[in-house]
Amino acid sequence: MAAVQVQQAPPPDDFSVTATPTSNAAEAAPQQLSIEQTLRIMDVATTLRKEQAVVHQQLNIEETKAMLRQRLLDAAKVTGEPLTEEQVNIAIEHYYDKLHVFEEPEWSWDLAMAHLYVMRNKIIAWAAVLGAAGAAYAWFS
Amino acid sequence: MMGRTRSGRGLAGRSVAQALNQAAEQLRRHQSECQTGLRRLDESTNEWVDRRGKTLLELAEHYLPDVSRDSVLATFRGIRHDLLEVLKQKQQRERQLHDALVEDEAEANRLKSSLEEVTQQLNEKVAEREQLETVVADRLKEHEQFQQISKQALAAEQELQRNEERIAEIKQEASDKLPAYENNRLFRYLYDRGFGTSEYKKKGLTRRLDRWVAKMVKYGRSKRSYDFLRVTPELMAAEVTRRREQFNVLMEQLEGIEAEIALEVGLTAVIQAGKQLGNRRDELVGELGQLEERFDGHHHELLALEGKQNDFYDQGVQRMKKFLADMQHSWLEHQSRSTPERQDDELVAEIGWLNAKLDEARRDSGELTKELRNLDDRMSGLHEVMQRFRRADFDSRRSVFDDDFDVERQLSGYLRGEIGREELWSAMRRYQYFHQPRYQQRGWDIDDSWEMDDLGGVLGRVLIEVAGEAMKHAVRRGMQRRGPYRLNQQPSSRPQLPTPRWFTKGRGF
Repeated sequence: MAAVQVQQAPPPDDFSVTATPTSNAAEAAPQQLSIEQTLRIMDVATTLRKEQAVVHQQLNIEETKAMLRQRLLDAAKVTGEPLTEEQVNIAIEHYYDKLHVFEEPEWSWDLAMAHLYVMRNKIIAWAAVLGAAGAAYAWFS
Repeated sequence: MMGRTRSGRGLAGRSVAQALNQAAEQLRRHQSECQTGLRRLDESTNEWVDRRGKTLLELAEHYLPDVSRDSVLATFRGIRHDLLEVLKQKQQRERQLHDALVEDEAEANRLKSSLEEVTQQLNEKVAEREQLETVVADRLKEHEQFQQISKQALAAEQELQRNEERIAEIKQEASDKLPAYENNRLFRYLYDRGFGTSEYKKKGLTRRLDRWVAKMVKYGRSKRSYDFLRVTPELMAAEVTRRREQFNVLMEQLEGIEAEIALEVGLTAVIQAGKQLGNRRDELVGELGQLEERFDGHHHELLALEGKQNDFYDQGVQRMKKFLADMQHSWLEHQSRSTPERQDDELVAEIGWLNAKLDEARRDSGELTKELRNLDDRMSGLHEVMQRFRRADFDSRRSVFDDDFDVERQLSGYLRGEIGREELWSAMRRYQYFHQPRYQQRGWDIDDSWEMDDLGGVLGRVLIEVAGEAMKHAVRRGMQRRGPYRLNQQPSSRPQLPTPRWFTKGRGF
């Protein structure tokens, strides 16, 4: 099973590192485990626990939605907003539909530059080929 | 007639089987009459052919020149002898086939009698099984542990069903949303070089520029969503597999309780004995089917001998052609010396009369052969329908035909050639049904009963009684889930109830 960190709600925009178990940690006797190895095992265990929680949450998505619906209705009562159950349901479905959808960045010069940047190796390779071809042409003509 | 409401008492399957046997008997009588007529015609034809041969011989002796007479007469006698030899061989083969048909009939009668006996015993075993199944059902309903586990199992099944639906949903969601991530050049660039993981080793300007790209595609959030869509369906499927195992454990416990009670009340022994009888019946039905095919084959060959499609006829024709070729020269000589003698006129007149009689006999024979061929087709079709009828157990005591089914009309229509074998069989299938077991519950339609009998019999029905009608679908799904496991279960020391419950390959016993 892949040890990949997954979660339901949109996470903050950070770049966390996922722990991966090493064979050394698995082979070492418990008393010989270093702090680093112990922490790695803990990481794996945490990841598994989180995965289990996500699986459980996803398999019981209707319960999660019901809970969310109740909270929204309660919040609406407190704020005095006249929300109907149907409107809340539509809002929840909309939220889940949009969840995990990739957001394409809007076009800008920065975006164009970013594309050029990630394609730099290809661009350099092409430029080298064209340059060599031009030099060869100039040399032989 | 799946899903239809049954009304009235219906017509017993055995009565329809009898009607089929009577129709076959009727066809056989008709075939026999035609064959007798053909034999009489054959005898007359042989006599006339013989007379014509003799007359031709006399004519030849009268006309042919002395020089060639001996050789031509020898040829003429030769052909006559050859033709009689071919005829003798044909008659010998006919006798062999007649003997084979008599043997086939005797063997068929023996098999039918054994089948009748085994069917009777099976019907008794079915009645015994049904009575014991009622006892098992009553005991299960009162069994406290069974009630408790059955509720757990059905709850587990319902949850499994929900989980499977959710997995299908999330798989669909993943296949809809993942391509957008995979087709984005910036996201793929960062993902492929392991950005944000321990594998990412870039430093300095490249690292700063990669961060700049990452902000543009909101990489942190996007990667988590991407991983979620990629991995979660698999994790969920693994979890559901684990839950399925738990469900199987519960169902095994229920089946164990059922098997214990079945063993106690003697149902297991009855089912085992019934299955042995069922195998015997299946064998007999198979043998009878093969025998009927052989019988039809012999009959077909006999019919061919009576017509022109056989080796003996071909041999006769070949021999006659050779004779005519040898005769040609002498005949021309004969033509060149026409004489006005009186004796030859009488001989020619006799040959003419004999030829007319032979033509008449040939016409009658043609009509009778055609009729016989038609009867042969009908008989072979009827045999096929009877084989299907027996294989489907339509002759069991539980088999009933709807009141609307007019067997006499259907069969006479078939015998008259108004309907074919497929139409006859299709009508039978449409109107036939099996009586449900005694413990059948109200509210079950025919489809449900069929399926439940296939899947688990008593257990499925009792589960519904224990859990309530509202859980009918959950029970059906549960039994469907268990079906493959039950069929493939390994022999163990624990009591097991043989599945499926049917004694034969059909559904009648």
